[in-house]
Amino acid sequence: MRSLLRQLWYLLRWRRAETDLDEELRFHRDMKTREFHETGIDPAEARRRARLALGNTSLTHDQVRDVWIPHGVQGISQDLRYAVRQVVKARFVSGAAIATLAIGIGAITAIFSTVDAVLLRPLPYSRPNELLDVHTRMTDGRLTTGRLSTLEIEALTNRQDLVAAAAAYVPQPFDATLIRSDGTPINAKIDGVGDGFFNLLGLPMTLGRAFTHDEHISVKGPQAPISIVLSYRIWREEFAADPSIIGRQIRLAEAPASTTIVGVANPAVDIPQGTDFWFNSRMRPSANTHDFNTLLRLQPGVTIQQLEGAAAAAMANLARVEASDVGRGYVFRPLLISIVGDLRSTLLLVLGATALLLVLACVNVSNLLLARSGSRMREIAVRSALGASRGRVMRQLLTESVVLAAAGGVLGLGLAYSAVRLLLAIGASQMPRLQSVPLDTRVVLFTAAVLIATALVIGLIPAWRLAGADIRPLLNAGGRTSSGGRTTARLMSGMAVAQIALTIALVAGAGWLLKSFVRLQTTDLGFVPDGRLVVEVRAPRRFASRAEMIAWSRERLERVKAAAGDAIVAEAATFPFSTDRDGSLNVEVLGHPFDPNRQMTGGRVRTVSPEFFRAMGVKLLAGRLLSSDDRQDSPRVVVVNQEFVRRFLPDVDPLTQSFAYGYPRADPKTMSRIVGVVADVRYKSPALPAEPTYYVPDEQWGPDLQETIIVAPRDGRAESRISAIRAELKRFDPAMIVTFTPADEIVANAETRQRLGMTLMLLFGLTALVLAAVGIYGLLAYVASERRREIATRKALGASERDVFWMMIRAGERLGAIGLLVGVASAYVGGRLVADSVFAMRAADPAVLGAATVIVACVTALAILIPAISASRIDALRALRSE
Amino acid sequence: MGERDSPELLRGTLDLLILKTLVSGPRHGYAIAHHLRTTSDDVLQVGESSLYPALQRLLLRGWVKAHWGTSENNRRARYYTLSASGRKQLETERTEFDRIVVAIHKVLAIP
Repeated sequence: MRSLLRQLWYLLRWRRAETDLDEELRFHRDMKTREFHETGIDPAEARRRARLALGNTSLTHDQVRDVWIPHGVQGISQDLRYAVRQVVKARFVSGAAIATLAIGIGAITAIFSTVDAVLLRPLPYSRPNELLDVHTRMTDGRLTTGRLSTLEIEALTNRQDLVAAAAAYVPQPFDATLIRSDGTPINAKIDGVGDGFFNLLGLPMTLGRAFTHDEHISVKGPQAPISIVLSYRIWREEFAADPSIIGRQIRLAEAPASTTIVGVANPAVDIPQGTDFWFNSRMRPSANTHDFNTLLRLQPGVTIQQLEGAAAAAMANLARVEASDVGRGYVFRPLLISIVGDLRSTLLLVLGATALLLVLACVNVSNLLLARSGSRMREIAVRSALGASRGRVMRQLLTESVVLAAAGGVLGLGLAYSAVRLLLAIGASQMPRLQSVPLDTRVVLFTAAVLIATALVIGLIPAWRLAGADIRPLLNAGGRTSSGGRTTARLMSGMAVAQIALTIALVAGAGWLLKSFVRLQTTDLGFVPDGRLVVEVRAPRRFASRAEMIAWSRERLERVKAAAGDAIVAEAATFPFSTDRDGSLNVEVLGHPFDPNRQMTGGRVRTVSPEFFRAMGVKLLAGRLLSSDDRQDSPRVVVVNQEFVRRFLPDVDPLTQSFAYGYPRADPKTMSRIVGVVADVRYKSPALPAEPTYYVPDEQWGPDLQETIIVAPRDGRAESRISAIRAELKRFDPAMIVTFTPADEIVANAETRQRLGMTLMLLFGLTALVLAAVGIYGLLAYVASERRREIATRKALGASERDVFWMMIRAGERLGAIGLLVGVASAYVGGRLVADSVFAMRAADPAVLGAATVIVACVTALAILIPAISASRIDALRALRSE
Repeated sequence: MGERDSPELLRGTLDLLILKTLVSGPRHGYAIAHHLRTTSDDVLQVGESSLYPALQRLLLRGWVKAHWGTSENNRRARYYTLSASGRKQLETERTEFDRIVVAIHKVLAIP
């Protein structure tokens, strides 16, 4: 142990030790010289004798070093030094190799760190693998909120053998208005949670306590006190991390009663995503309204499959009591999967593409090294002749590729860092779990692993090729590499085919996503976002009566109309792609008595002001739109969308029909006549088809706390209206929070995930093209230089420039053709694998595969053409003379 | 005729001889070689390519210590001193050496 420390000490001050030894040896020699001198020999002769007597000092140096440094270690450092020298010597080849590897390693590191942040890292809760998200769905395709009723939650918690705990949470559809102590309002995201929510996550509170069981018991009357748990973030940002905050009151404009802060949550708690305040939802037990998102913790060791069986039985029991629950089933998903959602498939797709890109980069560099190996044959031969074993030469060559990969890896890590920042900047930071993507030890370790694998991949073929070369003919042939070139060229051709194939796969991938994105953008959303302004407004207080609130909202809309100038202004409860909480009510068409076994139906209900359709640009297909004559006291009317007709009234004239709605049973008082049919509007996502929807005039439904005002200026210049409307609303009610968003921005945000995927794939496709072009060019240039003498001879014997040109083209052509074939086939197979997770994608899409083939073929042709031209211009005389 | 390494010193013997030489006090490399040569009547001639690696080996094991000092002719020279564990090692090696020499004599004594 002690000697190991001394060894280390020596290694650290190695240079010093060497000069010490030098001095010591010099002293020894001088003493020896003096000794000879004293016996009467003249000084010069004495020095000579001393030198002879003492022998080779560098040998002594070596042997001393052997004492200190184990032999293997010495070899490695020697290899390293030699490798670095080789890499530096071949500046251009090395530069190209390092740049290529940096791109490959950088891309995969960037994407890995993203995948790691989203999918691999466990959720920050205690024993996160036991956490599930619970939803319900209708097996017969009826619409449902997917949320659970307290009855259904109770049915799950009754199975204590399987379920450790279940807790409801209620994402509020609308944000709240926090009134600061200085009276200014700020927007705050507030969500209700049920009994045991914080307990289920299993993390200690930062301050104070979670809600007690009593705080969740439902009480009669609206004045039940509200308790608040602050998120760690808002505690720091709004309350300066005040440690004495517990027990303090806060003012929320919408809250009817006093609100008391009882706790500050653990920093890791982020359910629902982005919540600022949690309050105690008071839940009626054994109720059948589907209002609750639900978290569930399994008993240790219980699987989802075990739970599914028991849950299906429990649900069947419930349906015996409540007919509307026939055909309803629980859906359990790991919490992580439910949080990440669609992002998972996009990420895996992109990860696959980056892996291909890395392989392509490796093939490229491997080829580059092979090409260079031609000129290194002699060097290796000499080393072998001097006694280097085959293993030793292999090790040496592999060390070189390690040096290349390491340089590429370090650069790649830097590249990955900036790439991730860029990714977050172009919209990824809105995705779940992507608020930050750390470049930490895990990622660096991953990069190191990739780097070593890369080094092996790029180094093995050239190393094997070189170390195995027969050295005798090389040494004899005086530098002509006539025999080695053929095998090398064959290897390189194989790799060029691989390059072309990989490139086609990547370009086709980019093509699919591009086409999918274009489709998405050209999808008829059912409304026209361009030039529209979306104004979110919220009532800043409770109103004494419904009538007062109606009057207040009506006045608000009038103010906006006046301020907006020449524009259509309408109001609606929801705007497309802006809410994830959509109510659905069961529909009972007049004349078709309620029967759960027949198609009993749910539809999305949307309250709108009469101008809504014109403001949104929604097309009327039959009948009439809503009008301002449809008032509270006039007969109830609705406008339905096309999907509603398709689903519920396929065989009749919808304009002759009436229906009632409600939950779980339709309420006869709501019986309304269908007066019009409008085109389908996509609400959930631009990628998902419209659901059956009916529009109810807001006069007949009543105002909501939060409304969306849509402003459609006739001149299409929505932004120009913002300041006037803002000023007017401020005059109207200074406490009201108002946000302005151009409608096309909302649509663009809804497409972020797809845009991100497409941008990345385009980037990869382009990089792949460049890499492949460089690779193929390099190959043919190499072949041309190998055949320089042959070409010169041919020309000297009368071959024309054209003959040589075509000879070179034919060499490239075959590679290109095989590569294209293999590429199209593998791209198709790969496309089949991912088609399901990409919007409107067809793996066999001839346009995409065709375009990818043509693009790659063109680039390949260019890469073949240039070396062919330069080969055909070889000056026979000069080429032969230089030999 | 130049100086040569003594022919075929038994393995480990050089270490033993160096340690023994240092018992009488610190010496530099040249002095050690000189001492070995003169006391053995020129039989043991140790060249620097075996002396210095041996010294480094002893340093590494911790049996000797080195420090820079001034030589008799006023030059900087590295002096080696026997350490406590070196002294112990000298005893073990000496016993071992004696055992082997006795053993060899026994073998050679057979007619």
